[in-house]
Amino acid sequence: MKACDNPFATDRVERLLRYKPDWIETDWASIEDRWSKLNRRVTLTGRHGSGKTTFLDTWQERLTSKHQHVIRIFLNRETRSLTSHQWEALNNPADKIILLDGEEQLDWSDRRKFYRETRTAAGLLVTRHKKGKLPTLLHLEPDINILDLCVQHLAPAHYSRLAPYLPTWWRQSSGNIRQVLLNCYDILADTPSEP
Amino acid sequence: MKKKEHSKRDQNPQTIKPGGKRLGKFFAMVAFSLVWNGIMVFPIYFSIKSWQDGTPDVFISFMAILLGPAGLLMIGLMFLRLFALFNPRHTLTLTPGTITLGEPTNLNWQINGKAHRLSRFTIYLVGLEEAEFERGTDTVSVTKVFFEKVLIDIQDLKKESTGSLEIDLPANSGKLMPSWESTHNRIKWALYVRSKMSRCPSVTDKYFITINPVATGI
Amino acid sequence: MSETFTIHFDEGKTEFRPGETISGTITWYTPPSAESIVLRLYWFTSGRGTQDIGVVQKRTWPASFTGSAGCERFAFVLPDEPYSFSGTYISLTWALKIIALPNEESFKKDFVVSPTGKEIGLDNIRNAVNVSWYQKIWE
Repeated sequence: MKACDNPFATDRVERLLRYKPDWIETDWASIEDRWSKLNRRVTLTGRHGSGKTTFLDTWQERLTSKHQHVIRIFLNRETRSLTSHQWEALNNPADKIILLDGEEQLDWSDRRKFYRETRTAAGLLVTRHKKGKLPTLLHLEPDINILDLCVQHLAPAHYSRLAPYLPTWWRQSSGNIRQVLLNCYDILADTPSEP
Repeated sequence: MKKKEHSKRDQNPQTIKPGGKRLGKFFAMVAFSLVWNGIMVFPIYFSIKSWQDGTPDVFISFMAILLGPAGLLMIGLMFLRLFALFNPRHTLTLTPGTITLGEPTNLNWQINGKAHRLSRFTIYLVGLEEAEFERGTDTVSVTKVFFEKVLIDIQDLKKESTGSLEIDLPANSGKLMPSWESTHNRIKWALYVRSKMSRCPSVTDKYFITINPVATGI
Repeated sequence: MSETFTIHFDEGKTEFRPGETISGTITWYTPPSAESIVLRLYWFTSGRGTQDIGVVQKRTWPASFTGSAGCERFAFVLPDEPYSFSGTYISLTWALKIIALPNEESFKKDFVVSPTGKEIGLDNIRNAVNVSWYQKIWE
C-alpha cells in the first residue's frame, strides 16, 4: 500500500480525527460552560497519546469560527522554550486566547514569565500530563472503546482486520492512541509490527 | 564512519574510511559494561549473601536474575567490538564524490593490512526511507530499506585486496529516488561494508552518500 | 471540482519531467470580501511522518481582480527535484493550489514530476541487508 493511500497516514489522521465530546458522553456546550465558569484559564490533562493535541486542534477551530484571536504554541522535548517571536506575540494579550501545548516543557523561570505575560489574556488553555497551576477543564482518559471508534472512523474497510490486534497494542502502549494508530499504519503498509 | 556528506554534485573524489568509529564504539561499550556491571554487583552480592545466611531475599534475588544476564550480554558485546578493532580496515573512494542518476561513478576499494584474514568482504548499496512523526512531547522515527544491491561480494581475499567497479544507476528506472531531505522526511543512501574474519562475527560499517537527480541544468 | 475555482493544464497534461514548463489556465469567482488570489506551486508529503510542505513558486493577483469571474494563464518552470514518489512510509506529491485570501478558500490539483513522467514507486524490501541482531542492538 502506498504511503499516501494508507488510511492511517498521519496527515489524514490529523485532518479527519476530530475530538468528539459525545464519545465520552459530554458535549461542547458543557465544556464551554465549564471553560467560562473557570474564568477561561484552565489546564487540559491526560497521558501520552490521550488526545490532548487533537482536542486543541478542534478547540482552536471552534474559537476561530467565532472570530476569536487564537495564539497556538507547541513545545516538546526538542523545543522546550518559546521563541522571541512567540514571546512578542504575547504582548498585549487582552484580546487573545492562548493555547499552549506542552506546558511541562517550560523551565521554572520561563513558566513564571509565561503566566505573568498571559495574566490579562482573554483566555488561556495549557496541556499537561498531570495537574498544574490552573484548574482542570478536562482530564482525558480514553479507554479502548475510544480507540475502537477512532479506528472505525478512520478505516471502516480495514476494521475487521485490525480489531484483533487492538487489545494487545492498547496494553503494550499503556493506552496511547497515537502509538496504536501508528501500529495500524504499519500493518496496512505490510511492515512487520504485529504483536 | 558517518562522514559529512559531500555537497551536491561534488566532482572531487570522496574517500571513505572507518576512522575512529570502531574504537569509539568499543570504548563506549566498555564504559557502559563497567557502569552496568558495577551496579549489578551489589544486588548479586546481597542476594547470594542472603541465601547463605538462610534468610533469602526474594525481591533482590529476582532483580539479580532478571537484570544480571544483561550484564553478561554487555560483556559479550564489548568483546564483539574488540574483535571489530582487529578486522582489517578498508578505504573506499568514489569518483566523482557524489553519484548522479544516469552518470557512471567509479568506486575504488582497498583493504589495508592483512586482507587474507578476511573470509568475506561485501559492499552493498542501500536506499532508505526515513520518516519522523512529531506529536505531543514525542518524536518517533522509522527507517525502511527500499533498495539493496550487492556491489561486490568477495570470498577469497588472498587473491584480491583491492579493486574498482562502476556504479551506474539508470535515470529512467522508475524505482530510484535520489537523496532528498525535508524537515521530517528523508530519502537516504548508504554504502554498507561488511567484513568477516573466520570464527568471528561480521562487522558492518555504514557510510551515507549522496545520489543526485538527473541534471537538467535548472 | 470547486465551483469557485478551476485549474486546467494545457493539453490536459498531468505528467511532467524536471525542468519542463507547467502551464495552463485558472479561473475563479470570489465574493467581494476576497483581497487577492494566490496560485502556489508546491510539493507535500504524506505517510507515517509529520507532513512537510515546500512552496516552490507562487503568483498573486491583487484585489482589483476579485468580485467577479476571472481567468488567467500561468506558467512555471519545474525544478530538478524532488521527484514524485511513493514508498511505504513517505509519498511526495506535486500540486498547484489556488487560494482566495483572506478567507483561505482553496482548490488543489495534483500532478507528477519525474524523469519518466510517472510517479516513482519505492519497493517494499523485507529482510534487506541482514544486519546481525547484535549490530542492531548497538545501532
